Amino acid sequence: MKLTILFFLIVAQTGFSQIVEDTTLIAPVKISNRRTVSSTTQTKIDTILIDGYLTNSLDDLLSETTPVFVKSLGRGALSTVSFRGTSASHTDVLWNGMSVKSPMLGQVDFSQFPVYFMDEVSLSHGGSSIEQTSGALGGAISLENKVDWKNKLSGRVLTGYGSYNTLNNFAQINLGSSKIQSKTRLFSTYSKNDFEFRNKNIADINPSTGKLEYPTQKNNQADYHQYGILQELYKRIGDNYEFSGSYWFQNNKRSLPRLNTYEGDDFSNQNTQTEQTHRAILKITKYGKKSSAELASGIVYSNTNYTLENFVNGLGLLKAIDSRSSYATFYNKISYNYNLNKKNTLKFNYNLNYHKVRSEERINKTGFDADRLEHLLFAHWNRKWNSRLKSDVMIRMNRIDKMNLPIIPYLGLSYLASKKHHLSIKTSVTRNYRQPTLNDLYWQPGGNINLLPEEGISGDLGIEHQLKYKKLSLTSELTFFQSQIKNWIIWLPTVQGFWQPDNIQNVSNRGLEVHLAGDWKFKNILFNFNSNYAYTLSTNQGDPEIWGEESIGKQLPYVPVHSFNLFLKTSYKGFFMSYAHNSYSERFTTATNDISRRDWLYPYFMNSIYFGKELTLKKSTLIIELKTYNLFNEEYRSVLGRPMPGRNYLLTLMFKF
Amino acid sequence: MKYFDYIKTIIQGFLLTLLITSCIDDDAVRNFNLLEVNKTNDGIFILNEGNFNYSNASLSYYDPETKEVLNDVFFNVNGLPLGDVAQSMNVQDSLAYIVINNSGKVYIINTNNFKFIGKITGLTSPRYIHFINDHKAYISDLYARSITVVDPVSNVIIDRINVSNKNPNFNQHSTEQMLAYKNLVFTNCWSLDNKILVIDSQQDKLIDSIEVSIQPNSMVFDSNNKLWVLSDGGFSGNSYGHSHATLSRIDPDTRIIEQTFIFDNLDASPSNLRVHNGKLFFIYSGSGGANIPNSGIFQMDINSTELPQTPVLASTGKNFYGLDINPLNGDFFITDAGNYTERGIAYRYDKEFKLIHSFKVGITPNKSVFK
Repeated sequence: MKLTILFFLIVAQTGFSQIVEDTTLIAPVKISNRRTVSSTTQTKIDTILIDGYLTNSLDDLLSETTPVFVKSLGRGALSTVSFRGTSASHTDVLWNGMSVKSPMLGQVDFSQFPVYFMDEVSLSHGGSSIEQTSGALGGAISLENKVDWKNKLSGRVLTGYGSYNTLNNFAQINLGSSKIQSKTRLFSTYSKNDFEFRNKNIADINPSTGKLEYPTQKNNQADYHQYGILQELYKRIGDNYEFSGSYWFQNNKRSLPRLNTYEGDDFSNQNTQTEQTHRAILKITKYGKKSSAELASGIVYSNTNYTLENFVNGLGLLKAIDSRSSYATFYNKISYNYNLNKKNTLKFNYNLNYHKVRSEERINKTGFDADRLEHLLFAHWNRKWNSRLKSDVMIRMNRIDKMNLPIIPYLGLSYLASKKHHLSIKTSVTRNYRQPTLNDLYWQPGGNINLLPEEGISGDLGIEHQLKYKKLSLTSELTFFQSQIKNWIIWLPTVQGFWQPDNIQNVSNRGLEVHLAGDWKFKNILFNFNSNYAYTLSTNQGDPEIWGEESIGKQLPYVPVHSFNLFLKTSYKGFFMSYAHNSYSERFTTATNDISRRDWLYPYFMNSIYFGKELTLKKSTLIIELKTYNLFNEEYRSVLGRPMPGRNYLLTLMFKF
Repeated sequence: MKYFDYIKTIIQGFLLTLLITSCIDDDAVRNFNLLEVNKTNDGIFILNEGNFNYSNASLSYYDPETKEVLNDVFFNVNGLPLGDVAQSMNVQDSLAYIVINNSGKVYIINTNNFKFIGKITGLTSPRYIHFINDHKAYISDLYARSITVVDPVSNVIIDRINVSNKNPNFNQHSTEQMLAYKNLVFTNCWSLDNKILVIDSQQDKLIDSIEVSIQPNSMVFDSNNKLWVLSDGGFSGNSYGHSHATLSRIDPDTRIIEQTFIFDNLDASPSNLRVHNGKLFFIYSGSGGANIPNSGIFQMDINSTELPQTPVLASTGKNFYGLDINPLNGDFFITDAGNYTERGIAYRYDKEFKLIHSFKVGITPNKSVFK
């Protein structure tokens, strides 16, 4: 019993206690993106939302249930995530504690992360990411796999078919006892993705009227196929030890569609990308009376090939670009948590990571090999001053490639203002550094070894309120943030035609995030909702000599000032309906915020609706669901020159036991 | 309870907002009165190549008499974007041909009202268009390893001139600018190459090649009928090599290099070789954006025995990207690409390099083309 309580205390912050997942969809699980009571600004995406987006990739889940901005080049295409007006490379992604972003690109393509493989997804906004990682100036996203020790045999099997020849398959089996557990998951997603669209970026002249007409085209060369396996193994040894191991393999192959201004040779400009990624992590945890210690070791090995092929008369299909890159990350972490007394908790951890990368372009004969050794030291002191006031002090010290980075400090306070109304206030301040990526430093041609780390200073002020009234429960949160990023690295073209990075941007970000979630039971009908609004000002405060006077004080390209999303679900006697909405205000594509209709990214509103029925058969359930994306069949663009699909459907059948 | 009502109102509010705002107005982008103009005087087009993969190329028009600037005229007149990477433009009587590299096409517009009147499509990676006669034009190409022969009346591809050297190591030959001499066409192979190809424009055949320094990027014929070739020498880390930039003078009949001037600074990457009234002009700047001393516009007499050492116009604080000379009066049109991601500037200087006018154009302005 004692152990259980201690166990709870230690891991509560990572949400280990939430073992109620895999309950049926109709169960009155509270739907809210819960945030733990601490000075940090964190969002945990509720299981009900994760289940709702099961067949999607992570970018869809994030754009429709959290305040982050998702920039997507289209269905199945590159999709990046940024927090609070920062860039995609300021977002770190951790899988079971291990950073899985590429040491070359410093970012992650979220379209390649299947929600099938996630049990928990949580976000650390701004400086709160210090608790997980360093250098995530925007924030960090943690993907966790969790064990259910009560499980004996359970699983789910899903099959789905959708528009544009889309085929989804997923199977999961969980087996075990209170001592040992195994979870195996397999998935495959294929789509020909050849939707029709009216191409308004090109025109043909009607020979009889002389008028311009937009042709209807197919989104050719946009097919994608992903498949993968995730195997987890958990073992309890004695009362004090726990072992876990996870292995994730994924293969992605996709064609990258051409811009919709392309009218060249049909057999030219063919872009293909394949990726194979292996990720594995082993953990041993020892729980003591007042402490816990953990040893974790992991590896990521990833291989990416990208080719651009053109048809050459007499020679056939020739590669104009044949790029192969691979990286290996070795991750080692030792952590120690200690409850000094009822008021003070201490946490320490040390990481020894090694990255090795190789990049090669076989046509132009460019490439580089590079490696990086990281020593990362972290300490956290949490103190409860009284029943209302708590403080967090965190420090990170990084030594990267024999260079000591400046100390990364974090200071935070949380105050329970009203116990009755569950009203709490929290505030934090931090200074963070992000090291240039290996591509930034060594990419050929263009890499710049003289780059400095990016420096960010940020502060948060938040209010959190929980309300329970009869059958209504409601969580509302309001967070103000302000940050300044100096020496922001930007890649710019050069006279020679290649791009080169430099520390030339200085950005001021400020704004607020509003989160509202809850549920309400009215007779037999259950309503769940989750909603976010973010107001983000992200302005260029760079050197006018470089940026030109007209860019100073302007919103950064592709950062919307207003963003909003809503997920609403109602269930009644096994029937359920979900509605998802996501909107962004207009976005600029230039540093000067030119209002040109040609480059205008007008306000974006996207709606989806899901209907389903759940049938309970003894101990198992059968769920049939029809998802309708782009409900109003909008013709739209979300970046320049990329076609987007109209209304499309996915029918899924899932069997759970 | 009040609280409860409040929440209900919020939820109702949400739903109501959605119903009102749930339509994206995609046609708003094109829903405007198209620009109607008729510019009959000798104006200047400024071509803005835009950023690779952004489809944000544009066309500006400048009236040298009134100093009126019309930006984004292709879009404003036709309601269509120009495309991805506008590489070059060629005026033939009342028509202008705009080569859009990464869109694999050439747009044809009327030079007075800028109306889109045709296109040549199905190209691979087109760079320049050159007219042999009324029924034949050549289009050079970065990746096709051939020069595409088109019929400018029907705008269809009629032939291809194979220029592949079957080198398995590099994509050769890529072709760029084209200049006519007698029945020949000279074209430079810039990307990872060091050749000037000679094509017989009656036979549509590759007949000879001249080896020059690494990466010949521009060339001109002077009044003595000598071919001048400017090679940038590649850049540091370039797999094809990195050498000093050179300026070579070639006899087009014998195809012998008569003289080669070598630039002292290895970091120098000169470009945009032009000729006017017996003088050569080019942009002298650093490779890969590197700052080098004395960068700017250089001038050199065609009979000079050495390279100039100082600019006639320093580029201090500017990023000179395109240089063209008005054949009518010798005015210089120099474009400044700034940091390449925002709108650039065009500078108009008289022949004494006195600034007459400067104005904002589109993103990455690369060429000024005279009607």
